[in-house]
Amino acid sequence: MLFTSYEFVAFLFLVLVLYYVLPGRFQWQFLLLAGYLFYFAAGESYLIYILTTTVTVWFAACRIEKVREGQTKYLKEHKERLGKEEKKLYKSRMKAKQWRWLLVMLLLNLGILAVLKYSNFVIVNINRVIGAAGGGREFSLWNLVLPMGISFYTFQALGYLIDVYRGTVKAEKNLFKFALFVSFFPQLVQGPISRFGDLSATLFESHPFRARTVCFGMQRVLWGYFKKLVIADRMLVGVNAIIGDTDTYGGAYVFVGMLFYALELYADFTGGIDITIGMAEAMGIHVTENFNRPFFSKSIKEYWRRWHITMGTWFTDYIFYPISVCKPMLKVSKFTRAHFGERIGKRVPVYLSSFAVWLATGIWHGAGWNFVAWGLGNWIIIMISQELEPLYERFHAKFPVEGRAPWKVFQILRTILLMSCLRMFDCYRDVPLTFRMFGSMFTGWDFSIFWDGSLYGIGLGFQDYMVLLAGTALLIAVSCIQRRGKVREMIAEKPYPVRFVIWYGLFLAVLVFGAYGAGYDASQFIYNQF
Amino acid sequence: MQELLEILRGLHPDVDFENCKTLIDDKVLDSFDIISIVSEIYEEFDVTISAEYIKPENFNSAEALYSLIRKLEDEE
Amino acid sequence: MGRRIKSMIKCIVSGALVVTGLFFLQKLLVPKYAADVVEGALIAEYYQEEKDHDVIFIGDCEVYENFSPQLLWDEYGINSYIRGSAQQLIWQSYYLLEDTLQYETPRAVVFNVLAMEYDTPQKEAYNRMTLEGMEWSKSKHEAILASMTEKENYVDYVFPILRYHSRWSELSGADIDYMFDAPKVSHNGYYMRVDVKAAENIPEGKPLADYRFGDNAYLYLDKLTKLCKVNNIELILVKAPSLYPYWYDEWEEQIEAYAAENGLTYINFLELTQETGLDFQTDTYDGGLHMNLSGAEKITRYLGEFLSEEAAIPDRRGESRLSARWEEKRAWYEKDRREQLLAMAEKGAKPEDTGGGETAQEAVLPEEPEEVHADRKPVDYKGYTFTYQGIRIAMDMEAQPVLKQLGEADSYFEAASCAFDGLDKKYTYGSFELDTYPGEDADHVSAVLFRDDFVTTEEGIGIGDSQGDVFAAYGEDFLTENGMIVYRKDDMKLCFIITDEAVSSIEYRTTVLDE
Repeated sequence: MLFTSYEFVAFLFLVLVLYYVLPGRFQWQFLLLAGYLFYFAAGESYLIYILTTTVTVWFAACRIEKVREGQTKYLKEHKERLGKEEKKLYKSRMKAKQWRWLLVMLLLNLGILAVLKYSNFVIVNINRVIGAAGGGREFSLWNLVLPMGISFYTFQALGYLIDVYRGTVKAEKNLFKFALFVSFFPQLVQGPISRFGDLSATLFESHPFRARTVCFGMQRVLWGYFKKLVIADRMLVGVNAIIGDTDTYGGAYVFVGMLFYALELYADFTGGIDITIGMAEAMGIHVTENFNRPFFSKSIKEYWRRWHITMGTWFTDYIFYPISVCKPMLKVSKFTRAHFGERIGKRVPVYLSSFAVWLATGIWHGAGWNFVAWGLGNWIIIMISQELEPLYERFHAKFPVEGRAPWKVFQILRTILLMSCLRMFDCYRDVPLTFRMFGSMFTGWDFSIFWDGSLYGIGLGFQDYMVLLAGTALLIAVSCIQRRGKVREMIAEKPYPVRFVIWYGLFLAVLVFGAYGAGYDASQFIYNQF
Repeated sequence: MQELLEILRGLHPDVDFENCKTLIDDKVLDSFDIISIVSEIYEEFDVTISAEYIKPENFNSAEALYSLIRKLEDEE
Repeated sequence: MGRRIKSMIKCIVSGALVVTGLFFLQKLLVPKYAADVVEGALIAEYYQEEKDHDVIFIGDCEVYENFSPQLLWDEYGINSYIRGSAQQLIWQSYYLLEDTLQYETPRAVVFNVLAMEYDTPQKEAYNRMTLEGMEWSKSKHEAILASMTEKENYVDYVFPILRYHSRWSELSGADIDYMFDAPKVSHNGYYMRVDVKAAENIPEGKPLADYRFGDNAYLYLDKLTKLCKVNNIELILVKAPSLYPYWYDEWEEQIEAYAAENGLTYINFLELTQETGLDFQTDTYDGGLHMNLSGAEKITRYLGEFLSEEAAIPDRRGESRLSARWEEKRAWYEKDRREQLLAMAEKGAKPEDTGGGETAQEAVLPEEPEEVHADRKPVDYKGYTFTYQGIRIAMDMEAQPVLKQLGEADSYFEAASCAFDGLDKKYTYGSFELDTYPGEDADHVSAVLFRDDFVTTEEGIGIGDSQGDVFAAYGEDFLTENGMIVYRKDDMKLCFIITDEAVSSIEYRTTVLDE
């Protein structure tokens, strides 16, 4: 069930109506049922995977909590009797017990994810090595289905488990409540990756019907559909044409495709997230924001703090910090400091752990070398800008442009361009091809395509460009207004006729200008597959 | 406390670490800074700040960080 | 209390505004079928009629282009209406009759049996033209469910704006002019054409693996028969004299048997050219597919004779109100004929001119400037291909260069698709036949059919080879479609018909046109 299918829209309305018709205490149970129905409709065989993850993680979290409770009780009871050393020993024994539970579940659930998502990638590469080594028997590929949203719910569940292990959140004793946390249907498809502490605050409560809440939620859903249907899916035609025929579309086309893809991905992904968050909002449930106007970022590092935020913080909290501050890493750092000096020693933990994070981020996005290259590309750029920091400072000392508007614009454009270039790995799905196409931008540039009508050849006509132009202008305008506050609240303060015209107009725009139905192949949200 | 302030000033000489209470919230320190701080604290104090303690409330001010170090020293 | 009432009023007014806005938008965006593709307007026109007809026609273009209710009235006093539409499938005919019976019960129903050839939903565009015109009823609901292709969605029929929203970019003056009031396009369901194009080079039907009509088609024929019996209506089966699509002897036998078994009258106009006086040089407007006015009047006269003599349909010319209505209709009938003749005269083609269209030879090799092909990319051969005297033919490739190389065809035939622009063309060369379909820019190859055993496939299989030879050449990884052995590759299929252990037919066919 795609977000853009009639079935989903009908499902959404039905769920919303029933949700408020039901007595408050049944609301969360109903959401659980809806989530499983939604998942079942996507593929019956998927259920086994999400059930496995739910049950195992829930159970392990309860065990970990139990160990902790036992420990507190034990320490309290034997407060006087135990010496400091004994206490320490006991504690570390308990910690090891908890660690075992955590480790087993991490291995199990990441194992499921890895097998389903990466086994064919591994097999292909092994075969390649065998082939290079002089042939022999090749391994055949496995025929596995990748359950919808598996990366998202696995990460969400494991994040919860780590939080319980760390003592940041208390374990949820009710299996069904935990099951709802994992299978909350608006975010099943493409995130955001919620933290248990954040989502549970509003997920299980009863929510009486409030017109304002529902309206605000639906308004955001509508805006999401606008981004997705009017901009992203229309643009997709052009993007697919350009990346689908690399022989014809080189040079300046690559540049066009790059920018189109940036816009398409942004509209598609943020539109999908708007639909998710808006839907939850309409039901009174608060889901963490996943974007903070990323295209206004002044550096790649900042960009990654504002784009797909919940994924970024997940990697930071659960991979980056644990690796960078673990004992062995500290020892390595100490060692290098002693032998190679302060400058290098300081960098070692940062370099190594951010390398690990970006490698993981790349692989997380897909099983392919292009994603690895994409992740490491990000890493390299961030490290280079880190190293150039002193140079920047000297530059700024000489030229006081920092903070001025033109300089900001330059920084923003630079970031957009850099990100767009990196995304070519994602676009062309093949590392050598990406480099070749990137090169063709410098060797095969032809300005004339911008005015000789060639751009009409990629499946987009004059009217399409007009719609895209207007849609993008609206997108940018809304982003700019967002700096001053919440757009929906500003609109809500306007007189009723104005509000009516705005929202009805947006609805009609989606209805008429949306790229859906016959002639447009329903495209999956790009992020579904991750 | 003095050693800690030294470490912090070594990273950002221009920040008033004694009084600033929003080092994380206002993005004065980023993740790379935090790692440097953790590894330097390890050297100076011989205290390991494991990942679970890396959260805004522990790093927002020098004071908070110092009390974290004290607490961890105690436990070890 | 006052606040509550105020907010209620607000709700009602906003709701009304939303609904009316959507209503007008939908009216604006749906196709009007007024300026072009007028066939799409046929079904809806019925509802404006006064409904006391004695004869109702149901079926595809072979009824709405071949029978003239006006003539039935003028000469026999029979009050009739044609509920025909382009490529009307038999279940659509059935539900249309059900729909009609809600308003009136005729004495006789005339059904054209060509629709028996289709057993499954075919094309969305034709579905739309038949179903959208129907007013909402249980029959329409069931007709939609029975007709939808896999890609279609029921909601799109309930709210056509969902289907046609993209038409905003092609709106024209006609969409505003005919938003609410479309002009009449038919004469009691008859679509009049007076131009002439003689029938020639009608191709033989290509061999089929299985000539039996499909089970679903039979199911609805049974339902149709029963519906008529229950309502005491005489069901008359006809086959219009159209020469193409080909009417197989095997089909004829089945219909004859069915008619005999169920006590129905079956009139095959293909066998009555002598009696009706039909002349395929002058009586068709598109080379034998559809009759023009002259042809339609000839066969209507024959049918009228039958209806009044055998089926005892009464002559109602004595009814003054009805006569007055038909008098009005005749005025428009005559006007339509005069205007069409006039328009033709202006264009220079006289109706008597038998060679209405381009001659076969000209059509075989339409001239096209050489340089167009100069910078074309080398052909990308996909799927199974066929090579004839060194000329390689693949499905979906542009037809022009191949036709040029092949030289003059032995015979050429073109078939207009019902209601839509563009011609499917058939070129026959000694041992094979090559079909094309109109693509966006040019004609493309849609099929190659072997006619004898002088040619073989790339892999060496020809007509007369054994089934084992086929398996040896193509493997056993095949599909069975309508009794044929089908090998799919890329966007095409290679089909073999095996009769008595030997290959009796070989055809390459594109699958890009399938829905």
